[in-house]
Amino acid sequence: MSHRIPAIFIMLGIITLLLLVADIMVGSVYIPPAEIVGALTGGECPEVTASIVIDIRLAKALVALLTGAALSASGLQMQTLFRNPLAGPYVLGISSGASIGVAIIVLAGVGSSLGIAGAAWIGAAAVLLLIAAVSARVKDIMVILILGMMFSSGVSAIVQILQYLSKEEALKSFVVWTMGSLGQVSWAQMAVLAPSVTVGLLMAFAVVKPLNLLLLGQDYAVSMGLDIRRSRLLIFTSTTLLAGTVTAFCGPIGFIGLAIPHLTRMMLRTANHLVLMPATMLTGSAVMLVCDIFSKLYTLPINAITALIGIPIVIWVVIKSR
Amino acid sequence: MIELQNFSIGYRGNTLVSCDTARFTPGTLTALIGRNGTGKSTLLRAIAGLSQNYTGTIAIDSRPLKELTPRELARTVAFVSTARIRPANLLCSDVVALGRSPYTGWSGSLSAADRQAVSEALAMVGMADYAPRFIDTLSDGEYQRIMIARAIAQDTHSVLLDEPTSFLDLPNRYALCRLLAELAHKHHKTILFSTHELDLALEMTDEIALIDNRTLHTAPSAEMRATGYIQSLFNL
Repeated sequence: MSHRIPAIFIMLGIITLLLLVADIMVGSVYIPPAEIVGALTGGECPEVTASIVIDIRLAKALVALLTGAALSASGLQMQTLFRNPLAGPYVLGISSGASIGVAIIVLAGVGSSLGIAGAAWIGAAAVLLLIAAVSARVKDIMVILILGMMFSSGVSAIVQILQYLSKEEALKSFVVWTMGSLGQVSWAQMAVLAPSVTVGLLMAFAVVKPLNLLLLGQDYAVSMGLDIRRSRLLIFTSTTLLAGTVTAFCGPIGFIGLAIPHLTRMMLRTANHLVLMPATMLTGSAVMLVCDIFSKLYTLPINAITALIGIPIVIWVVIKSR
Repeated sequence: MIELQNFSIGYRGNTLVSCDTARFTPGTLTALIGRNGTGKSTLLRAIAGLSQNYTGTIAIDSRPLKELTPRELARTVAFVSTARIRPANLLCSDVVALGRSPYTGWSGSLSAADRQAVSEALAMVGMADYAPRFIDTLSDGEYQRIMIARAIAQDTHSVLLDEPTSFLDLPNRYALCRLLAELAHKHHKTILFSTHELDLALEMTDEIALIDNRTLHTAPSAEMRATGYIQSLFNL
């Protein structure tokens, strides 16, 4: 038991690193690993290749890495907080919040100076404020879950109305956003994405003890010293920073946040979040890189790939754990 | 020591339970009895600090509950609820280790002393061999003992238990009560548990706390046995 867990971490680390290199290799032009190493370390490498590696592919690969870790870490937090295996980063309505932000800009054409990412981020943050306000008053966590789902459906209805009323070109760019894309993030946007996600991931580490306590339900958690309001606020803020930021820049990416925590629990056979949290982040990064490689090889939208890879994982885990 | 003063709790203006003063002292095992719906769980949850919708004061070890921080509360009173939540992949030793939370740092990592407390708690409930087992493989009786070990690991002077004997067979009910009596008498804890088992309560406990007619009465078990008050209450 004690030797197995470090071994899994080392293995996950190596796999993630190899996938990161593989992800940079793959694209419209194939780049051999030796040149990638050259470009990254300032060694021997043609100038054009170096510029492709550093200016374009490295940024995209890092986006995949951060996105996978972010979605998985927020999914794990939601599953434990709501004690619901079907919870994911979007149960609180974060993707709906982001999508109405984008819909207002793209479909209604209001406030387009914010950009799609800015609008999505504001939409997601608005959801956080609403959830935080509700959770300060409502004690029962299941009520918050139901409110989140209802809110999410309500917002989707409004987005549908906007879609129905909008012009064809605007509709198309909105639909393309909902399909997700890791490739639209520039280094300039990375300057916002990376710090936000990093803060979210650090907050996810700060709540490992509250999450462990919440495994036994809220009453037991409080009786063992959990500050429920503070913990909830931390968890909600972390989830919004992680899922909200990723959704803002890459669109709503499904199934990673739902599937990866299950996969990680099954690999490690532990419920201790101190181990589970970093392992989930690493596994999420690795799987997201695999999805990105497939999406680039076959030029398909990332959301379709994550669903096709994520769904079998969920089914496999559900069947095997019965 | 648990003390209630001018205490009253209820829902939407209706009083469920009240009492002028009640006191539960260290080294005493007390059974809380009353008909269904008389507010046994509500009272226990209030004393455990899980509900603050009451008037009057509840003080444990001379400090009013409402003045305690969450961490201080967890060092003052431990609670075993009726919930039987069995998460997957969670070891029995992990569950008992959660009881050390009020003493550990941000990550919840255990010190050597914490580990010692966990194994002592497991040994005390006779479950030392179960440490490496997963919690979702246990029977109800075994699960209940692990949750009690968790409460012991919390190292509080007072322990509250909500219907710990339900779902157990007769030998296990007696075994559990003997364990609670030992905790009270040998380890000088204040133990208060609710139950529907009148025979068990009258036979095994030192004190009875009875909720009747929306009022909490306390008396030594021997006195309760002698007066036949309980029997009349339950129409036996």
